[in-house]
Amino acid sequence: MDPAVPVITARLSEAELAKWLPIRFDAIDDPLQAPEPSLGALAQLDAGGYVVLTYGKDSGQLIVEFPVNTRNRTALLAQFFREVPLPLSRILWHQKGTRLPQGKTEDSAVVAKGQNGKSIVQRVKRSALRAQAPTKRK
Amino acid sequence: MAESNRPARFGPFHRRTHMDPSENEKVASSGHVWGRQRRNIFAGYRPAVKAWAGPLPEEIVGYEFFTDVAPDPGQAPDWPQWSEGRSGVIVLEPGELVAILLS
Repeated sequence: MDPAVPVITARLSEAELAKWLPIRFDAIDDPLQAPEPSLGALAQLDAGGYVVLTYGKDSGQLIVEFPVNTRNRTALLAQFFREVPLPLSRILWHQKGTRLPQGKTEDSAVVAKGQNGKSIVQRVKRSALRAQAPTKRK
Repeated sequence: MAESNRPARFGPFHRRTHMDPSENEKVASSGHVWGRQRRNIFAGYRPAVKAWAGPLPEEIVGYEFFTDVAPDPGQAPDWPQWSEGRSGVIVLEPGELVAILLS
């Protein structure tokens, strides 16, 4: 099984995640598995490609990863955007060498298929460590 | 050349630990940050330490750290990680658990 590499990151709310990616996500609550409480899913596009989706619940950031051996990441990314109505305006970063879809206006992505549709299924010298504990409530 | 006040080559990074605030103390006492394989999705093929780039935001429970271990290349800029097999990454349980040393 191939490892995955990040291709894009985007900022969106959890409600938007549920609306635009209506698939089942698993909670990742083990702190050793993610840098913050997260939702994760492995999804298959209609075209057959697989994507790994990880959403940080604190940061509101989605990271989309493709298998490292994907031959044409730009093509798979285009397919992803055909099936997921994520506006390009939400993209924070994309992998160098991978092109975002052309001709797609920022907020005019294709309409997502619903859960019944066929689309994607499932300081001085600073200390090296500074910690903040939870606020104690009186 | 100006003297740097950075405690290590890479950082700051941070992790948000309100799921398990005891991690702060464990990291402070051990000087290591740990990471495990993500089990539910295949992106976790190799175990890795995961963090956020940048300083720990105010009001967020967690910790900020620096390290001399270089993050994996090719990662998203805000999502550094240190995977098993990379130079400087300590393998505690092969295929399961790794750590990096803080500086």
